[in-house]
Parts: sequence; C-alpha cells; structure tokens
Amino acid sequence: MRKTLRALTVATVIAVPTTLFTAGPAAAADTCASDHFCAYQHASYRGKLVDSRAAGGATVDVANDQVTSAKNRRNMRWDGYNSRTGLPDTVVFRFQAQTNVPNVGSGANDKIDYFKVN
Amino acid sequence: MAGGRAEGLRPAAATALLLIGTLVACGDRPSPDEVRAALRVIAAQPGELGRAEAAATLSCLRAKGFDPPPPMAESGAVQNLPVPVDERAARAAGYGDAIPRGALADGRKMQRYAESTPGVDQALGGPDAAPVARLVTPNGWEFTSPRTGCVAEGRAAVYGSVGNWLTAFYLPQDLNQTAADVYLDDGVATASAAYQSCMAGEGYHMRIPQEASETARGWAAAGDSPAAREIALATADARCRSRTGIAGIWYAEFERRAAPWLTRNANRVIGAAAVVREATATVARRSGDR
Repeated sequence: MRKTLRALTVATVIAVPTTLFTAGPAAAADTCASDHFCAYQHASYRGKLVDSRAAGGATVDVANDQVTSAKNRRNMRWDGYNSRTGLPDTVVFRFQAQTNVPNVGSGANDKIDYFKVN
Repeated sequence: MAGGRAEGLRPAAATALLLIGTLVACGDRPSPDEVRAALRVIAAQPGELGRAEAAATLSCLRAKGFDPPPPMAESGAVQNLPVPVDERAARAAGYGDAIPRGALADGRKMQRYAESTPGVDQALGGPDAAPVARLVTPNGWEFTSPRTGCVAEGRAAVYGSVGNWLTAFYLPQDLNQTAADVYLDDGVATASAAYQSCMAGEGYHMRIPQEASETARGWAAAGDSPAAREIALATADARCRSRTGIAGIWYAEFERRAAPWLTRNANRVIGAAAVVREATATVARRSGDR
C-alpha cells in the first residue's frame, strides 16, 4: 500500500507532536499514559512521534524512518511496517500488548514507516 | 558479567579466562542440525500458546472481580516468512491455527470495556512503576514487559516467567529483516513470479504467499471461524505453493541467510526452543487435565 493512500486512512491519533529537534538524548523521558501507544524518535522514550489510542484495524502513519523506541500500553498488538517501493511491505516488528521497547537496535532503527493496530 | 569485557584484568589472566570461556562454549556447542531444528520451533510457534496465555489473563482478571471480553494474545514467530498451510487442511479450515481469529473484535470489545471500567488497565498492565523483565536480542533490540498485572500472570502461566515469554516472543523477531530480505534472492524472485502467475490464474493478485495469509489475517481478525472467502484463498495459496515450491525455497534461503546469526547465537536459540517446547507441553498437560 502506498503512503499516499495510507494517509487517507490514517486513524485518529490523539496527539502527534513531531518533536524532531527538541527532544535530544539528554531530555527527560516522555510519559505515555495507561492504555496508550507511544513511539519516539530517540532511545529510552525521548522525542515523542506518536501518542495514540487508535482502534483495532487502524493504520497509523508515523514520520518515515524515525522510530527508535516505543511503549505499547494498549491491550492490542501494534505492528511496525517498512514500506518498500516495488516490493511487498515488511513487518519490522510485531509489538505485543503491554511491552516496551527502549531501543529497537541496529536492525530496526529508523525503518518503521507506519503501524497497523490489531 | 556475562557478555562483558574482562576490563581491569591483567592480559594473561584475561587471556586465560577467554580461553576457558571459549572451551566451555565449544563443549556446549549444539550441532548445526540441533540449531536448525530449534529455529523451526521458534520460527512458527503453535497458536494454542497465545490462546492459553489469553485464557490465563482472563482468569486472573476474573479473580480480581472484572468480567471483560477475552483479551488478545498471540504466539511468537519470525515475521515475513510464509505461514504453514497445505491444500487439504486449507479446504477444511483455511489457514486454521496459523492466523489468530477474532482478535480485532475482541480488541474492540476490550477497548470499550476498559473505557467503561475503571481500574482494568492497571489490573492488566500493573502499576506505572511496576518491575519489568528485560530482554536484549543479539541485534540490540531491547524489550521490557511488566512482571505484575494479569497480562504478566497470563504469560508466566504458560511460559514459566515473563522473561521466558519475552525470549519466546521477541528473540525470533531478530530475524524479521532476514526473512524479508529473502525476497531479493534471484531464486526466490523466480519462484515468486511463478507463484504470482499461478495465483492470477486462481483469480487473485498476490505476489508472495505472505500477502495471501496477511489478507486472510485481516478477515479472520473480525470473526472466529474461517469464512468461505478465506477457505478459497487459502486453498488457492496452498495449491500455488505446491506448484511452485515457493515456501520451501523461501525457507531454505532464509535459513542460509540466517546461518551466521544462528552460529553466533546457537545456545540462545536452543534455549528459546526449550521454552516453547515446555510451554507447549504445559498447555497440553492442562488440556489433558480438563
């Protein structure tokens, strides 16, 4: 699915403060409320990109290739996808309910282009 | 200091420790066949593990006085690999156990329940500052999960501990990208073209088997039983896999690309497979007890 099409189906995102340059590694970790999913630009939950309670079945766009850490405090699975031109999109990670990722590591760093909520 | 450097030691002592460590590691080294068998165990884990985990979570919530719809849980797997399916089974049950059923409907019910029932979020995930179990994968992914709350209890009931669950669920995902890159192999690309042509003949536009099962996963998420359209798609998928051999070619290339990672992490893979086998035995024992 192309990103332009996805943009039309993006789910309700409660807040998407794209703090790309304001939350450096030295900043305090951003909070993520109970029953929310949050994705961050930096390791250890700094620089919030997504703060969402999107419902199951939704697709949630995120600034391309920026996600480095995330908290899934929802009781739903969030799958991080990588868009590939001319190739099928791939699952970067399948992110189960009530788990956190302080750092996605070198293999997945800056690869997620959108999430699907299940 | 597992995994740490022998900083502060004299060179001779550090060398001796390194030598001993190497000898111990070599003595424990599993055979390549054992490691490949273990990889197959963790790459596609039985769906019943996720269902048992969800049931244990539900039981915990009820013991705390809540009466929610079934929570969702799913078994671990390497993503981006073709899920197993054969034509005979597909005719009867579509993708069967290979894809979760009703997750979307259950998730929506759980969301509504959580919004109208104070305290259930905390009961599920534990308090904000709950202690966590932690896993760092060989590729550097770091995962944490609460050790308290009903989700944690459900995971521990099936896998023995939240730490074991993290291993079973997330260690295989270190190979997600490896499985995805298989598509770039020439032999796989040739098989994919044949598969795509075969599926077009069946009336579907699917480039690889994963697109077929992902489509069915979306349908199955809304309901419990395989619908006619899932059975038709899974049957066509199985038939075209059989004609093109794409699933076997994909998995063989995946194993070849994963070999360096497997060699470096043989004991961790064997350990993760032991967790999955033990969890499967636990679930089977409990089913037998009922």
